[in-house]
Amino acid sequence: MTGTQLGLLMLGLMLLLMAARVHIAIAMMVAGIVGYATLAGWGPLLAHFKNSAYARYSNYELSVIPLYLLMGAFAARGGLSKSLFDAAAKFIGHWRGGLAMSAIGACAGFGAICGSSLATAATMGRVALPELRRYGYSPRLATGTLAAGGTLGILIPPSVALVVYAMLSEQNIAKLYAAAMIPGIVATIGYMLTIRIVTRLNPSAGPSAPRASWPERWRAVVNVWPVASIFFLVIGGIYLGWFTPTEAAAVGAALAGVAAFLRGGLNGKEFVECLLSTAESSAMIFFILLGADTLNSFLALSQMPAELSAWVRNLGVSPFWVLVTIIMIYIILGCVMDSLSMLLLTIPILLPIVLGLDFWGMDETSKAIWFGILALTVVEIGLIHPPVGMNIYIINSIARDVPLMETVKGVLPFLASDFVRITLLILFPSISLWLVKLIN
Amino acid sequence: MEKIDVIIPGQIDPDADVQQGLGKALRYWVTALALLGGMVLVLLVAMSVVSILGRALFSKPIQGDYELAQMMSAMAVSLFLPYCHLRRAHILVDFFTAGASKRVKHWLDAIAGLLLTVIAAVFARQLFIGMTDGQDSGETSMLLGLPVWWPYTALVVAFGSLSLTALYFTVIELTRGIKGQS
Repeated sequence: MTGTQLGLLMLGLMLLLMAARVHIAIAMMVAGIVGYATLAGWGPLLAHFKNSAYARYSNYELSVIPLYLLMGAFAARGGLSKSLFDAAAKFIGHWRGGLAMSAIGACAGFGAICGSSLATAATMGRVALPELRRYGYSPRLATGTLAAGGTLGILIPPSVALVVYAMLSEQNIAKLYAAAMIPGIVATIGYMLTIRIVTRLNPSAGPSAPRASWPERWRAVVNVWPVASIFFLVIGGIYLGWFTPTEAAAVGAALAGVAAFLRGGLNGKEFVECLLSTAESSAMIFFILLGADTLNSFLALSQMPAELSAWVRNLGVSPFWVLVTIIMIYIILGCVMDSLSMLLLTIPILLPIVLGLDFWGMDETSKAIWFGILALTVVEIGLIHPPVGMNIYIINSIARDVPLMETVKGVLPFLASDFVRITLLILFPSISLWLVKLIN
Repeated sequence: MEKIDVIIPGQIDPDADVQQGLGKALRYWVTALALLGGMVLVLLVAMSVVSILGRALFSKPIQGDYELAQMMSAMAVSLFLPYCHLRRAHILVDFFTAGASKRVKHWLDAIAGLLLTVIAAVFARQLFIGMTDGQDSGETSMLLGLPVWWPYTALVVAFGSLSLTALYFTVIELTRGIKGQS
């Protein structure tokens, strides 16, 4: 049996185990272990295990992940999400659908200090849903908006998913953050336009709130300063050369903790809760990282990714259709898998294929960055479409009186906006690459 | 702020099986490990802030802060692993088995749990060997000269505890699978 055949066989075994409720990380490990032992024997495999976990977990670039999660946990307690929503609502709440747009804006703002989509959806949902309902927004639009808005957290820096992609593709995280910035803004505007269209077609879905006076508005803006300064330090500090990304994340976590404490949201008990929720979500990620590490050690040994890439290149199919196929694969996988597992599973196999093809004459680094932003955009869609759209469940567990199907229907217009954005990102790589070139 | 629990269809209550006896002891131990990891993380935050301030104000960063950050984050995240399993939060796909009977699910979860128990135990054993290798060779970190096996102790304990936690839930799922109870 060739390495490629063994590789495909083990991927099949892994999918079978996953379907049978084996933890994703363990399914990856079993496939990796069996494959590695078949190719290289048990001795080298066991020797690999003496250091692999420490080597993976002591990776300096990955140490930002638990720090981002801690920062997000603190930020969620400090009422920072509420001040973001209030500030946006004071400015545009009197538009038709304006409060929903404010919620989108606040999600984008919270995404700028929180690296996780689920945390963004959960935090903003708790803050904005009651307000939207109070002003008579339809449950469908209100819950759909919050579920979709949560996905902005994955794209807008800092982002856990981008850190993982940077590791997998061996790209610079600062460049990837720059590349994600404009697509993140495009996503935010796209969602706001979606609300505009929905409320034009059905004005009763999003009635306007009373107009706020200018002094009220300025007061609300002033309240946003902790968020603004944390974002400036955590992301800006990297580009100004003040800190490494890990140091920046540590500073951000410290500031978010201080802000939460000063606003009375962080006593001893809540501090412990922050640590435990950070523990839970960090471990979830790092266990899959270890599983993917084991699987990828085997795949690299089997030469499968390289051979598959050569095979696709020799097929003579146009690169565009290969890309469309890859996107379809992501959408199908997104029906059963979470976004991070998908990235960890597919990037080592699919990125070599993309790098082996010609897209508008881009160089290798540009292709890797452009594809990363595209892949992230596509996997985030999995968060808001059934059956495993986690954001839908999170919002639904906050708004218990809204039937799940209403939220699913509410998300549909936002999904349409996502597909428009994906098309734009494919056709115009400069949306992602322009800012990267600018900072170089 | 009130805590929300996300209810996902078909998901089990993570706290139900660890309220008494062995389960309670396990919960205390594993939570203590997670909090220890959390404190290490907070220490990492404090160290980074002090190092940055030292560098900015007195052009004197903490010596070897990069090395320490690597060691601390490796210890922290591995100490979190058993707690995540205690909360039954390690990710699995339940799409294809959503319609299966409870009994079938208990059996499948027992098998999955057994795989996790064995693999975590293998990791713990190999990491222990890795640790003793490090002790024998006396290898030290580049800047600070710290023995490289030190952080391995946390990983050995973490993976051992992960294996024990998995074993505990495997036995529970197996009993339920055999008895056919929900």
